[in-house]
Amino acid sequence: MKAFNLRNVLLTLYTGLILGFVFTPIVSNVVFSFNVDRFPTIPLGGFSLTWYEQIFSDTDIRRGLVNSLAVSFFTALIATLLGFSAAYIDYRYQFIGKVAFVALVTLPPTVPVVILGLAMLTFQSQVGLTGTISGIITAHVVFCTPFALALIRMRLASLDPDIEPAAWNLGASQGSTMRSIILPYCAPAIFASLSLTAAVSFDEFMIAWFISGNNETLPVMVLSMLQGQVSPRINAVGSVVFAFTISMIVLSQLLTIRRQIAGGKTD
Amino acid sequence: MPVTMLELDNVGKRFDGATAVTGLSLSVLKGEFIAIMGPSGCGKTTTLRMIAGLEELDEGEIRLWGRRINEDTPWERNAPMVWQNYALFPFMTVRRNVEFGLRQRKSSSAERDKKSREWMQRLGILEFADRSVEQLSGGQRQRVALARALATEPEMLLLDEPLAALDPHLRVRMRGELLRLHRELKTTFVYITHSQSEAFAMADQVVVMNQGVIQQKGTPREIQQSPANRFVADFIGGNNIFQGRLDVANGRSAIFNTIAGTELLLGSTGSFTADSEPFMVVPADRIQIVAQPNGQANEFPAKITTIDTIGSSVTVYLETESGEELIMQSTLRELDKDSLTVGSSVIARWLPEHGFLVSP
Repeated sequence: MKAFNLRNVLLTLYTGLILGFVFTPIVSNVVFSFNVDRFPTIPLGGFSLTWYEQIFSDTDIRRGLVNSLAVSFFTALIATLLGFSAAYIDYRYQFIGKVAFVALVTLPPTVPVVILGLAMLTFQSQVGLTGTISGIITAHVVFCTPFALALIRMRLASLDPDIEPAAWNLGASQGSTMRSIILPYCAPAIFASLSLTAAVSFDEFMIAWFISGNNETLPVMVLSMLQGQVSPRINAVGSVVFAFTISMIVLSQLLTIRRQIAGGKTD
Repeated sequence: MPVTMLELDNVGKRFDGATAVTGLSLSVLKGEFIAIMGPSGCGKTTTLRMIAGLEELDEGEIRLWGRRINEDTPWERNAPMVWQNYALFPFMTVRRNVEFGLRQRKSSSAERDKKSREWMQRLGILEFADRSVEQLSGGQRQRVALARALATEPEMLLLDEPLAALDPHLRVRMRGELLRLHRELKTTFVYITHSQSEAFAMADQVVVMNQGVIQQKGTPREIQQSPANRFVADFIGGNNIFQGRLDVANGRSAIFNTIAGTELLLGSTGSFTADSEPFMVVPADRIQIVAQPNGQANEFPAKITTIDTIGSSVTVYLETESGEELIMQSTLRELDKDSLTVGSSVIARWLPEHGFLVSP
């Protein structure tokens, strides 16, 4: 019993250390973004929103934020649409080369981002997309679609393959079955995919750094700010990026968990 | 006057080169209860899916009221199906499931309410109307599946092993309810099953299939009394089947030599001639056991090896001295009269006219 307690204590300690290791930089980032002092020193100087006022009045940073939001919004929409289509094709149809098809769609995140970024730069300069918002969106869609595919495919895997034929059999056309059966069933996964791909796109740095040109997204802008001078404004920008990304991820997780609970009842 | 409703004309279907169904012709009368029966993989479910339009035909034609429907999409055919695993829409309530077909038909909401309520009432699931189908038991899901299929009041209902997933006692009860529904609605039922007891208990016409081919069509009684071939005799169960050669066939009586070397006498040989190699069938309920031989034909000393009891009826397994296996239908009362148990030595016999020949 005693040994058991000791084990619990050690385990708790260990977990605490890991979490501390992961979260201390983020927490300090957030804490210092509200600190009045110019330099990150302890004790803290006092609470202030100066740095936030500064970044929101800085037109460059505002432009970066708007770029990032636009890119992540359209990336999420397009990647989820493509991911859903690929997942549905995988669910509904049998054809030669299906495994290769799914593997190909899933591939991009396994390619090192440096290589992906470089390849995108070379390719997009050929077709005149470099430095445009649509260029970044295109690249992010390639990178994010596999996440959408994975989420929606997992959801469809738990749908009895007889359900669609059953709807057709009761007089629903293919379009009507899609609207009344498949889409409502996939809705939690679709929303989860929208927020996850938005988050991935919003804080993606490497690919954007290669191809964004003058249309920098926020993460790329943070780097150029760091190169210039160390300013507490970076803490504020970091906190904004973190807040957005973590909300999207949590939202996506909530939708996934709720679905699993609901799905668990089926069996 | 019975009217033909559905015709399958020389229908064939292959999957990746393997034949699922071939040369299948069948006609179904309006209001008939037809059961298509066979072991798994015999093509019965494929046949049903072709009628529903869920599989395309490779050969032949399906006609409904004389009109070719091969090219009709599943949603254009009014032939709802009850699925073996029910295939209920998982995130919908019972009511939404039952209403589904009515919604597709763009019926008014008042009409939809009335119809769905009526069918839920009829199948005893009205009290669950607003529950999610995921909270229902197997028997209740079965009723939802039936109500959903019947709510549009189709002229034909397809049933794919609807009772296979139910508990045995529930299965017998649903059998009665299906029969009652069929009588009341006069809807044509096309019923797929691998269970001969379900087929024989409910259907007007039974079709026995094996390896994609129809083996026999007929009323349950016809099939039970004169199975068309060895497969049917074996599949419907309750038959002793002997392999061998027809030795002497002199018109009225004949001798059949089994491969185990036993001589069996039989009354008539039908169209079989001497030296042909048909199978001989003796129904299990034709076998009798007696204590002493009385010098008649087809009497064999045997030992009881197993006794299977279901209620008061029993299936007795016997082994003759020459090593042939026999099964016999009897009752507990009969066995107790002579205090027979496993291991008892008896004389098994049957009358020559009770045996008959079938083709391989």
